[in-house]
Amino acid sequence: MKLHIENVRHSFEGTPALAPTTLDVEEGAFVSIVGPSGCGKSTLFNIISGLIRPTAGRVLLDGRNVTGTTGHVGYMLQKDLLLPWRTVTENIVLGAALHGRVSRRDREEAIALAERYGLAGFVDHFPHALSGGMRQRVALMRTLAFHKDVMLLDEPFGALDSQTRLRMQQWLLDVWADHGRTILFITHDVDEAIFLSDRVHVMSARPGHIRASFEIELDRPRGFELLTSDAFTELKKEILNLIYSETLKQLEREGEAA
Amino acid sequence: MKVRVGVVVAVVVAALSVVAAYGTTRSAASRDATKLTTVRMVQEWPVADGFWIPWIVARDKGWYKAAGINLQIIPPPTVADTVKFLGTGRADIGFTTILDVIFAKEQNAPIVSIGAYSQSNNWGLIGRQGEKFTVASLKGKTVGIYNDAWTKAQLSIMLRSAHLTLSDIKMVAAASDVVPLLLAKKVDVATGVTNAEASEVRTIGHQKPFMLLAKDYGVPNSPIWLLAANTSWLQKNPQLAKTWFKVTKRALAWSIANPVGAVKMFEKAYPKAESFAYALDQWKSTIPLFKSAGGYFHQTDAQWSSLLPALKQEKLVKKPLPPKSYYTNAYIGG
Amino acid sequence: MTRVRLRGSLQILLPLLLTAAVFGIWDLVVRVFDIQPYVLPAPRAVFSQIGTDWDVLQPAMFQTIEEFVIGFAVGVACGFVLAVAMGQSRILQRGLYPLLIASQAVPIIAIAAALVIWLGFGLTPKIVIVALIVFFPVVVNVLDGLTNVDRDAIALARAMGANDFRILLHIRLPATLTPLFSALKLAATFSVTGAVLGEWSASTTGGLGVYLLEQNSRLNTAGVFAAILLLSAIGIVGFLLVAGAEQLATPWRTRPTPRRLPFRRSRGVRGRAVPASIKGGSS
Repeated sequence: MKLHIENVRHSFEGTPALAPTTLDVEEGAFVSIVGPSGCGKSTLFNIISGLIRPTAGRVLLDGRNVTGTTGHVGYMLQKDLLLPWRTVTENIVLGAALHGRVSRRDREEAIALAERYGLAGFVDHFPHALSGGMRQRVALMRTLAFHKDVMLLDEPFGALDSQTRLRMQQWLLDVWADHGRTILFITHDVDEAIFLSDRVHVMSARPGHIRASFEIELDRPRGFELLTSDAFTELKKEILNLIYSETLKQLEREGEAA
Repeated sequence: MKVRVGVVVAVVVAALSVVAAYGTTRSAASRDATKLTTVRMVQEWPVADGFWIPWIVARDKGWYKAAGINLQIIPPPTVADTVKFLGTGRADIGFTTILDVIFAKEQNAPIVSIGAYSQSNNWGLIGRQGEKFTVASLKGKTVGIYNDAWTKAQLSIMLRSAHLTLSDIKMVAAASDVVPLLLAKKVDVATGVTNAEASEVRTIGHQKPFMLLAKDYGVPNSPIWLLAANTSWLQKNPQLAKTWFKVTKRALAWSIANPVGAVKMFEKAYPKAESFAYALDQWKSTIPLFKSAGGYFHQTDAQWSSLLPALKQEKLVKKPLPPKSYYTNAYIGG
Repeated sequence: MTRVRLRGSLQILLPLLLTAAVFGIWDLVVRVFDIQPYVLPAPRAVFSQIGTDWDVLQPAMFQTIEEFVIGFAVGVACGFVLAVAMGQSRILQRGLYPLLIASQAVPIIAIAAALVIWLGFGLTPKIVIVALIVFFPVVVNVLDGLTNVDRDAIALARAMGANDFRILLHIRLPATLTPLFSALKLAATFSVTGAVLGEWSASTTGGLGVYLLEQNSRLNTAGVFAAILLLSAIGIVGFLLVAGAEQLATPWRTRPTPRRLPFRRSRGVRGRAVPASIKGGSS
């Protein structure tokens, strides 16, 4: 098992944010996590990436305990977080820069990535000269260039318009096919989750744990015609119902607390 | 929302009432003043000093008022502004220096000197107690000066008497007060006058300074301070000027006879300006300067004709005028 | 092509025209209102004064420029170091900030005399005065830049395994450049006044401030304005130099790409904070 998350739970100053969660992700899988707002999805990612040491539980990567330590996975957020003073290439090699040295090979790889994925004329541009979609692509390339087998993507396309988002989803699948990484993906968009993933985990209301998991047995490569197929719609109905009921629960709880 | 509007209204009302109050007090003042004629007198220094005693005494004893004068004392923003105020008619009378009048006349300012305040040149070099010096011994020493041209010129003339030049000494220019530098031993000697810097050394430095007077070393013995007036104001108010002098002379005589009382009146008018000890030393050092054969404030040609050639030689004046162009004794009375 | 050229020349032409207009209005006002020359001289008189006294004004100018440049450099360096230290330590920040504000509330004229007594009459007290004026906007702005760095960017860097030093170097310090240059542009104009105030306190050296006082004492207002004109010129040139440096140091604010270096392509990309390495690297 590539990534084994064992009974991880977390509280912030006594308030539980993440209920005990166990999750297994096999190598090369594309796994999505969906759930109501505030259920703890991002907290889970912060724990996996080592930014937070969980109140209990462990994170095992290739069998090694990496709980609370950083630098083992790639992490990409909704904000592209490209450094404005670095060009596209320089942003892509940020991982190497943060570890002391950017080699010529690192740079050549970065340029190759950019050229491969449609940013050929922009390798020396500053982020402000790029569109939102282009910037998210660069952010993904930065995550790729960090050369970690596991990549956490936290709503990376949330800030983009729906047209761009569709293109980016297709593009992400291409990149994933090329590089074979293990991807964990958080999203609010159930269509997106089903379209991209091998498996969708639905989290419960806060404090969240994994309520249910759905295998997405749709053939790859997946095209957009899939979005309106029966199998797709069936899955979507089930998942949406689950999320909706969880969302209601959360609202009730918040209402009681207020 | 409601609270905010209330706050705004309150602020506006407060502001308006302040403006209204200010307006009424001003109009009240001018109502009183219409019985008297206002004479605006600009001073030589932004901060009150003991030289002002004659007219402060006259004002605070009510002698100006009794003569129909409302004296308005105007300190200038900087020392160079005194003749600017006079020349532009922002002031009627000015307490200023002889150099300022000469420079102003060179620029065709409409002012004239109407009375000599002091009668001799009491400027010189001041040293610390027990540190006697001669002009010749100043070679290689540090001298504290002010940033004005006449200080350098007088210094230059003094040095010449011992065959030295300005390059034989090290000059440190202070903008406002050279005495702290002297007392802190940062300079060897300082330039100054008997009734200011020397007074300061005595009262604040608690020591008796050693002083060489410039007039003993070739520098013209012209008075430093005088009273000047705007010429068009003089033309319109000749009697007023004469009355002003009559009152001021009376106050001067009283202040010379009663130095402690005079200084007390000064301290009452300007309590924070100078310490009593300093003001008393200053006034006592100024008293000898008033004595004149022709009476208080009397001016002579010689006061100007000794000075102007030296100024021309030091390149401070391009075209000196005849002495009578600079002064008149017409207003000082008998 | 033509449009760019026009804008470029217009950029220089417009301020020059406006300056000429200001001088023209000045001359007109003096003539129409018949202002006395010792109150406000005509521009012609000021220029001719600059010509007459050039042998004195030129060394005075260089003296003031020296005070300005050294004081500026010292102030910027101290301000920057202080800001970084305060950015790294909350305690230091809380403790020092009120003191720094107090240092600015004290009028320079009040401490100038004391500084001269401590530090002597030469260059040093003037440098201290200029530095005092310069360092505060630098501290405030750089500290602002450091504290307002995007927390998510820091989180990202941490998730990538960067240590505190690397985060400081790559994420926090570059974020200070833009606010730093804003502060520098302000400081460049304030510093000239600082140099003059320093000269006014006590001096064995010359300088435009000293010249100004001397001319003022002789009622030579044309001389005063001559000094003022030259001081303004120094301030303007200083400002332009800083603005130019800003362009070079922070090209991303106005350009889509960095300036091209001739050998850029073969080396890959010009790195700034990132050292280049020729042998194959690790990943």
